Amino acid sequence: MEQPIVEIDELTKYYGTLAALDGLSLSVARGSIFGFLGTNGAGKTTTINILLGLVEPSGGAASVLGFDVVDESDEIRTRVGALLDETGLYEQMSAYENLWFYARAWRLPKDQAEARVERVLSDLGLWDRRHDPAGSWSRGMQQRLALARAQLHDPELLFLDEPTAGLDVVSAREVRDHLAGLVGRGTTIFLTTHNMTEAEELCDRVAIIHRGRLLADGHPDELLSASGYEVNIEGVNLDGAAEAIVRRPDVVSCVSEDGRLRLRLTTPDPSAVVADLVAAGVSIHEVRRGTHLEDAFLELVREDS
Amino acid sequence: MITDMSTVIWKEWKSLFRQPGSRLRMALTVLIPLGYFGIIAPLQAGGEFTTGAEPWFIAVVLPLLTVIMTAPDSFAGERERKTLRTLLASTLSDSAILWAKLGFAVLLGMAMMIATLVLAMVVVNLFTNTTGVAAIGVARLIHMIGVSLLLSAMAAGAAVLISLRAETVQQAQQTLAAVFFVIPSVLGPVLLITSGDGESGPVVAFFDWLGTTSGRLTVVVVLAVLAVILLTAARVGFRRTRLVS
Repeated sequence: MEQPIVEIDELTKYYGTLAALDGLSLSVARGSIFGFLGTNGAGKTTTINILLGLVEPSGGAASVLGFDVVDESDEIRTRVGALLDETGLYEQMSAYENLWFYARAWRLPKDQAEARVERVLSDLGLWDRRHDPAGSWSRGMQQRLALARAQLHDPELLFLDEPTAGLDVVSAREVRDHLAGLVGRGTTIFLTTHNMTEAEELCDRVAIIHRGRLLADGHPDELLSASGYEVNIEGVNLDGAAEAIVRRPDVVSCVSEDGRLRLRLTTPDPSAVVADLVAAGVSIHEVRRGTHLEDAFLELVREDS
Repeated sequence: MITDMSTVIWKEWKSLFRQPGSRLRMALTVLIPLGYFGIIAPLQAGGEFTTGAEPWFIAVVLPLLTVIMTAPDSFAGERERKTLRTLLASTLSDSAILWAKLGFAVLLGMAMMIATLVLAMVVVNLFTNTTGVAAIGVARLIHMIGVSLLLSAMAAGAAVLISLRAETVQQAQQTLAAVFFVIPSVLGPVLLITSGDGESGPVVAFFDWLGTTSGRLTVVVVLAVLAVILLTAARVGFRRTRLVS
C-alpha cells in the first residue's frame, strides 16, 4: 500500500491553555483532493502551519511526503506549494516580478524559471497583464496569481487555504477547474474551504474538524449517508402522497410543507421514490437535491457543540 | 546560500522604492543629506574639508540614518503587508533570509556614505580653491570606512532584532530611533553639564583620547563586539516557528 502523502498522528497544539489541536489524527492519499473542513477557529490554519514547519506542535507527530514536520521541515518546504489565507503578494511589484522572485527562491535555473513563470501565468489567464503591479489587480486575479506562485515549482503537494474565498462566481469556477486539472496531472491538494458545495464537488475525501478534534473523515458520500440524502420535490397532488412512499426502506423521513415534499433518503438516487409518487398520481415539476455536505457538517458540529 | 541571499536582496531592492509614500520619503532621506554633506558642507569648508570633522559626520550619521530608515521594514514590513508567512513557507533558508535583509540595509548605508564622500571630494576639487588634488588620507579613509561598516552592522542587527518582534514598521522605527537617537541626545547634555568647563573636563579629555591610536582602536573593538553581539542575537532570534503565531 502506498504511503500517505500526509500523515498526522495524535497532533496537539496548545496556545497557553487553549487547545488549538487536540489529538488530531488523519492521513491523505497521494493524487487526491483532500478537503479539510471546519468552522473558524477549528484548527485548520494551525494544522497547515504545523505541516509547513511554521509552527511547532505541542505533542503528537506528523509527516509530509515522509518527512517529519519538526526535524525535516526544510525538505517539506522544498517539495510543497502553499496558498495561505492571505495571498502573500508583494503588491508594489509586478505579477511577473512576484513569480520571478519565488521561482528564484525555489532555485529554478534562469531559463526554466522564465518558462515556468510564462506557463503558469498563461494557464491562469494572467500573462497579458504580467507587468501590472499585483496590488492593482482585482481580488480574483490576485488569488489566481497566488495560486500560480504556489504551483510554480511543480510541487507534489499543494496546501490551499480557502482558495476561492471572496471570489465571484466566475473566478471561483475558474479556480476550481484549474485545481481539478492539477490533480489530473498528479498533484495532491490539501484544501481548506468553508464552501461545502465546493468540497462536495472537488474532494475525494473530506475531514471535518471542530475545536481541534476530528469529527468525521471519509468520502463525501460516506458522510452524507450518515445523515441521509436530502431531496426536495415540487409538483401537483402532493398532499397525501407522503403515505405512498413513507414505508419505503430507503426513505428515512418525509415532510410535506409549503406544497412540497422534503425527503431524507438512504440512497443518493431518488428515481425509485419519484416513480412511486408518479404511480400515486403526483405530477412532478421539480426534483432537487439539498446541499448535502453542509447538512452533514452542521449536524456533526451541532452534536459536538 | 549566496544565490538565495542575492534573490532576497533583489526582492528588497525592487520593493524599496515602491512602498506607498516611500519615493518621497526615500528622496528626502537621500537627497537632503547628500545635498548638505556632499555639496554645501564641502563648499563651506573648502580644502580643509578633507581634514575636518565633516567626513566623520558622513561616515557615522549617514549610514546610521539609512539603516534606521530601511532595516525596520525587514520583517515588520513583511508582517504588516501580510507577506511574511508566504515568504517563510518558501524553501529559502533562515540564514539566507536573515543575512540578506541585514546585508541589504548595511549595503545601502555604505553606498550612501561612499556616494556622499565621492560627491564631496568632487565638489571640493572642482569648486573650491585648493592647491593640487585634495583627498582624505588613506589611513583616515580606511578608519572611517571600518567604523562606518561596524556601525551599520550594529544598527542593522538592532533594527532586525526589533523588526522581528514589531507588529508594524512604524513601531520598529520608533523603537530603533529611541535606542540610537534619544538615548545619546539625553546622555550628551548630561555629560556636558557634569564635565566642568569646556576646555579641560572629562568629555574634552575623552574626545582628545579618541584622536589617539589607542582611542581609535578601542572604538573599533567596542563597535565590533557590539556588532557581533547584536548580529548573533538577531540570528538566534530568527526562527520560523517564532515568527508565525
